[in-house]
Amino acid sequence: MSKKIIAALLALAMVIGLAACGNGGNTSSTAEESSKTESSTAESSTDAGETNTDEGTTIDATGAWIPAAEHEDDAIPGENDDRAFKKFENTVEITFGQQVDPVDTTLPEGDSVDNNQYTRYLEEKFNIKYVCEWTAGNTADFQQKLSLAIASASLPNSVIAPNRNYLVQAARADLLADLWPAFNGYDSKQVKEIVETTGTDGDYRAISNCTVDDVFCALPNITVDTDGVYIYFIRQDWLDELNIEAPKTYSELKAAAKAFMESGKSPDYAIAGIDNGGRTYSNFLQSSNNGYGFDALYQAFNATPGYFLRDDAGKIYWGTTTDEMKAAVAELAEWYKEGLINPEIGVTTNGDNANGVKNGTCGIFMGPWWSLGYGNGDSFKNDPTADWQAYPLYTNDGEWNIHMKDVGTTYTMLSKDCTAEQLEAAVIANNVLVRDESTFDTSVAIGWYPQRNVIAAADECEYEYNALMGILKGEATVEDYQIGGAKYTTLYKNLANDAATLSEVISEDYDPSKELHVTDMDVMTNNGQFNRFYAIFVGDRPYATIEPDKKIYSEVYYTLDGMDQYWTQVSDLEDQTILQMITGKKSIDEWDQFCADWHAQGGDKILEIVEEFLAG
Amino acid sequence: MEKTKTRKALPTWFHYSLMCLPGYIWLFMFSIVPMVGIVMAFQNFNPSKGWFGSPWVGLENFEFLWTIPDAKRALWNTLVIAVSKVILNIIVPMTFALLLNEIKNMKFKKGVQTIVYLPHFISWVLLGNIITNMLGTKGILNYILGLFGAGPVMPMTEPSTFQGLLVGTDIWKEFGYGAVVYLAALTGIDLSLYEAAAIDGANRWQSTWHITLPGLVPTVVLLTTLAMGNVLNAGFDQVFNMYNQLVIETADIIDTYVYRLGIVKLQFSLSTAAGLFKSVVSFILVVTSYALAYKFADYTIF
Repeated sequence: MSKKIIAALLALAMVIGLAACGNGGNTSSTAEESSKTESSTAESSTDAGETNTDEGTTIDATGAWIPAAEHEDDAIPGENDDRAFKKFENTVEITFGQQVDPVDTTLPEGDSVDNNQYTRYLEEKFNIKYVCEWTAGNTADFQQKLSLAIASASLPNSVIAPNRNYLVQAARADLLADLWPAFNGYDSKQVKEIVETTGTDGDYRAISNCTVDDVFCALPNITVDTDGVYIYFIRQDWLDELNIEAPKTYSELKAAAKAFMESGKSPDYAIAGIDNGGRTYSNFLQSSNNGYGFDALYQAFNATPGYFLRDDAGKIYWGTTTDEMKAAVAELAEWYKEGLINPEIGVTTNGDNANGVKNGTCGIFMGPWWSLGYGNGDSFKNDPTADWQAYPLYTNDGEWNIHMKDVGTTYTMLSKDCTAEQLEAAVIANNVLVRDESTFDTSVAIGWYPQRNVIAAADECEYEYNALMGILKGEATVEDYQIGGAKYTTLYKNLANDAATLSEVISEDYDPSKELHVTDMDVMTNNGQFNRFYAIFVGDRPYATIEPDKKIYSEVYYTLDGMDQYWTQVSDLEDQTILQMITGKKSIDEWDQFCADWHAQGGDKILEIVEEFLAG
Repeated sequence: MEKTKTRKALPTWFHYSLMCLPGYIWLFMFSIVPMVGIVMAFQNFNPSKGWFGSPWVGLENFEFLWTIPDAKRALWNTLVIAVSKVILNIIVPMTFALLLNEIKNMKFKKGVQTIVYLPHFISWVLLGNIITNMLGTKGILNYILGLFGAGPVMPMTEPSTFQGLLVGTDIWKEFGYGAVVYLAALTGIDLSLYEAAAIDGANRWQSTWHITLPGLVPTVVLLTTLAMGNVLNAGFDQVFNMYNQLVIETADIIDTYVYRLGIVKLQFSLSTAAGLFKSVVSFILVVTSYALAYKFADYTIF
């Protein structure tokens, strides 16, 4: 009897529970719907006045490039207009996959990859909502997920290809949208101006790089030229203490490295190098931003490894398999043998090389301009007198021949599943980043901006260096660079903000006729800007102030059709052999054998393909 | 009355089969279904055209693979590493089990067994990093060597000894776990045999040699046969987490090669071909070893 009662009670409870669930679900969804309709009506009523015009107007931009000069001026930062910065009537959702920094500490508690100050800004101001589909914590994982997404034809609406090979793969697999109408029609005047710095008369490298089989299928990435210019960094305070002139050639650098070790400044090793998976030089595929490589040293030997070059007879050759490169590798092997270079290059997995720089036990490393400041911010937090300086490494003939990078390396790909509205939204979100980045509070790392894509004028850093130096020297005022000022320009997007914050970082006592040192700067008050100024004023000083003797470009910057399978083999061979020779695992005497192997195992085929391609 | 009838209606194996069902579903989903992808090895695979639309290229991928020195190197490394692991993973746990079996103090015995059993549960992702740091220039190994004035050594960068390192760390991680099976087999040996041997005047060595070892033979044969299927599995997890560019020539195995080819460099067809080649060789080895096990030890698994 009692069992029956209990059973009946349970059954009753279940029925009530189910009913309650059903009700709850219904009410909440209706509530949602009604709030949605409310908000959209509210929007349309408030925007009614302005949105009349863009209602139903689709800009026809399927034809030729619309020059920047033909576009109306952009709305000022933070404001909307009815084209490049329009607010959509209804929320446009874009799903995306992105690499995130697992050790980032700048994101506030409770925020996430698709709910942070940047995504909220886009949603509130432009009605563009980014929804995260997947993330990856490091480059290798990201590439793996992206490959699988391409292979299984399941790309999110938007994802950034780390190099052009992924773009070509995705485009050939017919996974990408034709972005030309949206990009040509909705990009801001500012973006157009920057694109136009990459070429002339409608023939722009930024555009052609994004074009696969005659279809423009990605947002271009345009980075500063100096990202590919390699210099070396050294502790000037140590040099001064030991009474050594700043080294100009590799043999002087070697002597300085020795002195650092003998004096006990660098107890373990003097020169930091790459971690596991790194490469000692940037090649034609990743032609820039190779931090902790030895690029500067190769250049001092007139070697340009990893580039397709043209000899005097007009024939294409490979930059790695040259006598210059052999000499450079032999020199590095000698340094390694003497213990000047981190003995564990290519092995450490936890950023050990950067740690030596940050905690002040290593006094020399190489990389592009941002390696100082942006790259080693902790060095100055740990020791506000760590006076890192940047210098070019000259050849023995006193030449400074620099390595020129591709326009950009990454590509923001938009899936062919995107609606026209989503494509416009993606272009607009990109406009917004370019225009408003300097107004954001970047204490939350800018990497959290959804699908962050850098678009900057090629000479931005040098221009800023000279402009800001002008202010310090009293040749111009901060106001000149603000909106409405005499020298205000949208092309250099961060300049206004940088000019305004200059006095927060650079000490009043600084004498602008002398080189800037860390002791002239305030590290902590505005640490974000300190890092930026250190990178520009010190890291980019060589490229901003010294005219290079030669600029060396690769003949191509991406793998061509039919080249992939050979490249797979010879790139592995090359990466391994060079590192093994530097670390003495292989003798430099085997150099000729390596060159022969490189050519025999596919290198000759690759050169043939490149030669054919360039011949047209 | 009725209830017992329905029970009888179900065959006795029914509930056992039911227990196996999840395993079969898993096998079907993750091992049978993906077999379709094998066709990629004979195609120039294009994701948009899929498995059924991509152009066929016959054996071109295999031919190309055969011309690549890296592929041959990976095959050779896989064989060396995997065979060493198979052999040592039998000898070491068995020796350990024999030694442990002789210990009278139960607390000590259990303690040791638990401690050596533990590393089995640490993932290679962690262990790879721990080992890299322990053997690095600032690691414990060089610290101890430093105390005796010996120069720093870097086993992680030495191609000639790296295979030994891989095999050694794998044995260290797994021998405790492997020993469990042998300890179980040891308890299964009839104690009266030892008593009879003692009466006949046999000493410890003699009874080990003539009773314990022959008693373990069926277990050894079983485990060896099962291990043959893994002869080309040199352990992706371990190698992937421990290798680097400097030792790649002796550390690169088929699985890491396939990973780099397919996932890092997007050569889907080539990497499928390499994976398929491995599977075919493994299949031949398994079938042969099962046949041999039946012939020489009269042992059948199926």
